Amino acid sequence: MSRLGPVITLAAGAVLAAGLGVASVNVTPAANTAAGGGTVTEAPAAPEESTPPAESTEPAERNTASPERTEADDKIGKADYGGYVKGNGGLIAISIRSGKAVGYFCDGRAEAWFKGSQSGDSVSLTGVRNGKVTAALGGGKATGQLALGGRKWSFVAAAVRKPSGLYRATALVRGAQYRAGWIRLKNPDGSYTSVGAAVEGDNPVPVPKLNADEPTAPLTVDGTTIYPKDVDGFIQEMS
Amino acid sequence: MTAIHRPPARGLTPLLVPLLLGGLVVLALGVYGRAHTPTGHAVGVAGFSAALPMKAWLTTGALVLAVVQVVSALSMWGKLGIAIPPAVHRWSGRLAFLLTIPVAFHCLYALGLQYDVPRVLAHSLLGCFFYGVFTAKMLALPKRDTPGWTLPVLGGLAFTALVGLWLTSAFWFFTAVGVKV
Repeated sequence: MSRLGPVITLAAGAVLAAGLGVASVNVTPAANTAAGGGTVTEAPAAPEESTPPAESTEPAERNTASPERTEADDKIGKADYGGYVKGNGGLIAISIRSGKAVGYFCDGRAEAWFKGSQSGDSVSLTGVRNGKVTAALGGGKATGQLALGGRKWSFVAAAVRKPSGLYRATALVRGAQYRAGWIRLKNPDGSYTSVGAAVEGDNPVPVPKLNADEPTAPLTVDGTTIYPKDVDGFIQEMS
Repeated sequence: MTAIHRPPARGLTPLLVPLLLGGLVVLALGVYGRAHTPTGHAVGVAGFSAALPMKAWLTTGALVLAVVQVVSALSMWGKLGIAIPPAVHRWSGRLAFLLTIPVAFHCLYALGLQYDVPRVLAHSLLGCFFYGVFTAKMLALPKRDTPGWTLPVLGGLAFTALVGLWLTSAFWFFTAVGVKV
């Protein structure tokens, strides 16, 4: 035992990783059939070797990789929407990744983050703090309603593509949790409308401007560097 | 073991194979992390709201067990004056290693090796290094003719790497995003 124990430990880790690999290949949401004007993401390439290799041999998993056989045809792989909320001067952005949806409303002072899911041609999101967003997808836009603080507004958000869309940054600034959000929309004349807000702890603080050419370029807040991320960069930490 | 042919002096030769294989593990993980297109999705441990909290808590669990590792190792080397059964060291180590596997799997399979932000760069490199040094330590463990400093150094490096991994992941997550399950 004492001779083989360490090797067994390594092998157990490799087997566990291989098991996770097999399971992941089988459930990978294939669903990159973007509807509603979203851009289609590349299908995730079948992993050449889906386990961290320890020195033991692992089963080849390539043959089991047939992403198409999940139920996920219903799910939109990637879509981004942004537009004005009627009657309150704010902007709203909704992004969908593999059926998972995040949303952000911001008028420069009030702001709210939402998360939820897409199914068929509708999305439903609930506020991280409060509120609700529902929208129907179709014709290259999201048409729906925003409920926040006991009031309701409607909006039409067109499909947008980078660098328009939703950005978010989280960081630790002076020991407090810092969170900023931005929505960028391209105007018909080619310029951009941008709105954002930031909080430190629970208190609103001035929000830095996104870099006009490269929205994900690092910014400085009180001597701390923050890294704005696009939806692909932050959807993991939101959900 | 071919101890008959080998001089009794504790040279570096017995360490060659463990270190070489450990280095290969580092390299293989790094190359895989770059070459494989991240899927953005991986199967993990159920019971958490999302992948990042799952990873943050498993890493924290591994860190706690790693502290047990250091304490029990000190005891085995007679530095504490109390005797902790060797089984404590073995099993806390095994459990810590297994706890890291779903985390590392998600990192490499779903996210890949990245270096756009200093924290992520440090985390990616430390992650590859950790499994290399752990492999080297496991392979050096049964060998009786390695230099005396082998296990403390390899174990210490593994512990240091794990602390670095925790600081650049779970600690970042709990402070910048929030403590959530």
